[in-house]
Amino acid sequence: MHTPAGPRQGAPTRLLRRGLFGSALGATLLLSAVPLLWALTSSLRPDDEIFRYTTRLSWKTLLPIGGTFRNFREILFEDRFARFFGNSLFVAGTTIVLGLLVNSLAAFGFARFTFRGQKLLFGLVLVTFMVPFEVIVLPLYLVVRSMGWLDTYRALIIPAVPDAFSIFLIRQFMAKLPKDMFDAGRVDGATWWDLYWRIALPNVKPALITASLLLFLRQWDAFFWPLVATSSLELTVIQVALTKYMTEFITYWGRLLAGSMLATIPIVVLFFMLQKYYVQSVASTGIKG
Amino acid sequence: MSHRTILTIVLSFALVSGGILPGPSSSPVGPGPAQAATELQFLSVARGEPRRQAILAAVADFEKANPGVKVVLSEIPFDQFFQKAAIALSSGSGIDVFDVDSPLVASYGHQGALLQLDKYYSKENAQDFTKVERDLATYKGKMISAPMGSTSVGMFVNVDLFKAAGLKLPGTDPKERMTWDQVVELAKKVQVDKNGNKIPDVWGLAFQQYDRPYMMLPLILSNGAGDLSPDGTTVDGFLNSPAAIEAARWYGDTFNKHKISPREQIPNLFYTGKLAMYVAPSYEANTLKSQYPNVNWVLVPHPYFKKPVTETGAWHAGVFSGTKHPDLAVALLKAYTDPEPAKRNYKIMNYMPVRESTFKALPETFEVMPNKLFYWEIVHTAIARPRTPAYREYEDLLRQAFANVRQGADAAKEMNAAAEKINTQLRRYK
Amino acid sequence: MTRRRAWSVVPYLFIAPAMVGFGLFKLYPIMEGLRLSFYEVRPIARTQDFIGLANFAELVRDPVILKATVNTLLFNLAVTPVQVVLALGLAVLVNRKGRVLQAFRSFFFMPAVISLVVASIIWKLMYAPDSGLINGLLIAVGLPAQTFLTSQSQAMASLMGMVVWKGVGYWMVILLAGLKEIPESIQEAAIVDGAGPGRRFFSVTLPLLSPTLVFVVVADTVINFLLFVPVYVMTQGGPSEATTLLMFEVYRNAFVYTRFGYAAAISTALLLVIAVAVSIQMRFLRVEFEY
Repeated sequence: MHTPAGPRQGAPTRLLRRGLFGSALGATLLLSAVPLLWALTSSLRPDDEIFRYTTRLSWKTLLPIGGTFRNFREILFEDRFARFFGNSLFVAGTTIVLGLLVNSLAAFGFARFTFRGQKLLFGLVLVTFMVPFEVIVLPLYLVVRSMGWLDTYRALIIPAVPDAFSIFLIRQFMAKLPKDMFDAGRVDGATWWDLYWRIALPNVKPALITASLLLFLRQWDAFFWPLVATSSLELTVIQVALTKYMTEFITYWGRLLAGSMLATIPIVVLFFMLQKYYVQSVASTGIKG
Repeated sequence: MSHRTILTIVLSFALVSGGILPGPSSSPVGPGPAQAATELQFLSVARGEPRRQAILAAVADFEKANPGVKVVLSEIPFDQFFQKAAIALSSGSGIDVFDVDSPLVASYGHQGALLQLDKYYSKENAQDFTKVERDLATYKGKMISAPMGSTSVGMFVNVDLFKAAGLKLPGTDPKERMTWDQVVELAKKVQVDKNGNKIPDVWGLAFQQYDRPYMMLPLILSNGAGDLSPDGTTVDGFLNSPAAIEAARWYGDTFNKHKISPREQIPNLFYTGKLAMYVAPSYEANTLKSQYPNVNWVLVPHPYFKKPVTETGAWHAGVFSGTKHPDLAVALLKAYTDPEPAKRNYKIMNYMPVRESTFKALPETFEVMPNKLFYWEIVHTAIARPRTPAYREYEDLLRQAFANVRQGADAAKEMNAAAEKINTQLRRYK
Repeated sequence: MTRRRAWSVVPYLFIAPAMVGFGLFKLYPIMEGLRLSFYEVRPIARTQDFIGLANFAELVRDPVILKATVNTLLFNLAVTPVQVVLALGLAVLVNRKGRVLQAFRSFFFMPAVISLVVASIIWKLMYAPDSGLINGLLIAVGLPAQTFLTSQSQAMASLMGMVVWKGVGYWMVILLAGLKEIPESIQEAAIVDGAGPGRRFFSVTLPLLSPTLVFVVVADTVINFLLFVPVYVMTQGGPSEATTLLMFEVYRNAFVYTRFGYAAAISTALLLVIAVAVSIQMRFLRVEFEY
């Protein structure tokens, strides 16, 4: 089917293909960007300006002409935003460290062994992400209370550490590693720990990085549980803090959106840091034909 | 690069974030001398600055009067307040004193969550609460909550938009109260669509809460229908009566037939001068004065169909019946709601007063507009939402019905369906 | 003998930390939560009365639950495949070097970065028929304004649109991790064999990506079954129950009506639906892709 085309014929086809490729990407980009662009623009406006340009469309709709940093200033300097931000960073960061260890261990156990009750236990792991949190929140609250953890960082971190998504994801990657890799290790007298630490983990780097991104995202977005499990201001996490701009009487749209924009920064930074570790480094998979 | 790189990244990340903080286990309520002291948990709805200062002042007063007792205040967003309270109440911990949404007093009371207060209140103190609030605080003949702040409702009119349309402003005296049909006619005249795209640039009418019973029930009641049978067992013949259906149909027409009201709430519409008539609670007067001083407005009486009816009510506070320190908890409740703090609450929080003494202490406030009108309505036309243990269900189901009518559904069908569903829920409380 | 026994303890040691955590923080609360489906629970009054199967009897006769079940199945049958296909397409397209593509990747990931509550609020404002940005755009290019979330005919599709938007970038990132694991030598060998991009995708990329794809399909399905925040923020299940989902009914019964028992019964039903869906997927995908 695909015969190497001569240069004369190839150039327009390639150009056409590039064009299609580009416009498809561009259209998708627009779709994903417009809502966020609007939110960003709005966060740079005073509250009474935010809803002024939505129906009578003009260039002002998406461009913050005459914008103001007042919303950002008020959040950053007048509130305890740094503390709330720091709380979320600490909770999410710690969850990554503990979660990667605990879940990759379990993933290794499920991926590289056959043992009695394996199917049942893995089934139980999967069940833990199929039940709505709203149903387990009260019993979980009682468990955490009986441990004396209410209103502590532990209550926010520890229950989120064992994570079915991470186990499942890492297991999928570990299961497809070639058997010889481990057999060779066994012959050399490596312990199971060595096989896990020296062979399995380094070879599923993308899965580990993705799992940490997911764990981070989950904890960073956590709202209902922190609200239930903590009560003091010192332990307020970012998503709970943001709701204070939606007060009983009035919603401070500008500050709410500005705070939400600020709250995306750590994830964006983390994504930038991590993506170079698992995005294809050689341009060989594409449509360069 | 090895897995160590990953771990290093992650670890350094955790360390950096850890560095900002005093460490994982240094929780502020950790073990230590604080543990020895008595602690009271106070759950309040998040009111934002500066209004939360009234609560902080009450807490400070209480702690000064009761050395060695520490109050842990949690401020919960309005949307999640009920969930947080429900979880604390059902686990029996983390709650001693809490804000109670005034229509929910009966629900908490029915479930035995609120401590009876009669023995803690002198007759004089209890009688100081206004009649409508006193009724709200009473369940099965016992006082179980203390009113804290209330509301009234009126119609805010944008003066400049009326001038621009060459219309005479409606009168502010209760005697000049407009009917809803007059409001529709005015709304059509004041509405502006500059570029002819069928989407008004200036809207005629909007309700601040456009499907909640707080603003919908006055329509029904004003048209001569009732909201609940006197024995509280059925809404049949009330919410689905011809008068109630007629009121719901009028409401639907404002969106779909007259097109004077936006079908989805547009934030800040009145604040930005794009709405002529705004049916809204009393506290909006303060929001307008403090946040949007450029809007030129006047308050007129809440419109009506057959008889004038306005809503009232907002917040009470109560003591959890399972508290380990009932006397201290009541003392905190009183530091928050007694006659003196009530005056402070009024000044800082901008709810309508719930005590006669507050009204009397501030004649300069309640003898001038707009508060004069709000006070008049509270005394003469105010009703409270139905006192049923099933109020949450009642509210949710009625709200769905009105939302559907707003979006074009048939009023008779929706009100009948809502009545049937609400009756099913009411039966569960027999 | 000793060796074998030692061998048999090892896997349990590996999974032990996670399983202890699951037992304490997930499985025990789940059992407790689901136990309540046989009770009439008044959480605030702190009473639990055993009522046998009464909650389930009510469930099968409840017209709202029936509507929510149909909606939930429809929602998942539409949203999950669209999300996975789009995510896969984008992942393959941006899985290359270059500054421009790096920027593209980040843009596609952005919707996943903003909190679900805030994203739902933004979309609700954009969808508003009389003031929203989308109708503003439609009118500007001469198209008629639409009703979106406010009409029975468009509400579900509008909800789906928002959810697809929110999820695609998230799943794309996970698929990118899977693509990275495909050895470049295999792709190059396929090029040498003269395989075109289409054939390379179907005969090399897809089969080798299957472990990740299985994860994405299953995880996306579960997440979509348990989604309710957009419904809560944007429609409250309306108009006329057009957008109510089982999960939203769980929420509504648990925290609006405080009927924990009935909410638990709905969750039990939901758990069964999810378990069936997932086991079908796993069986199907294994046959399709595993070599």
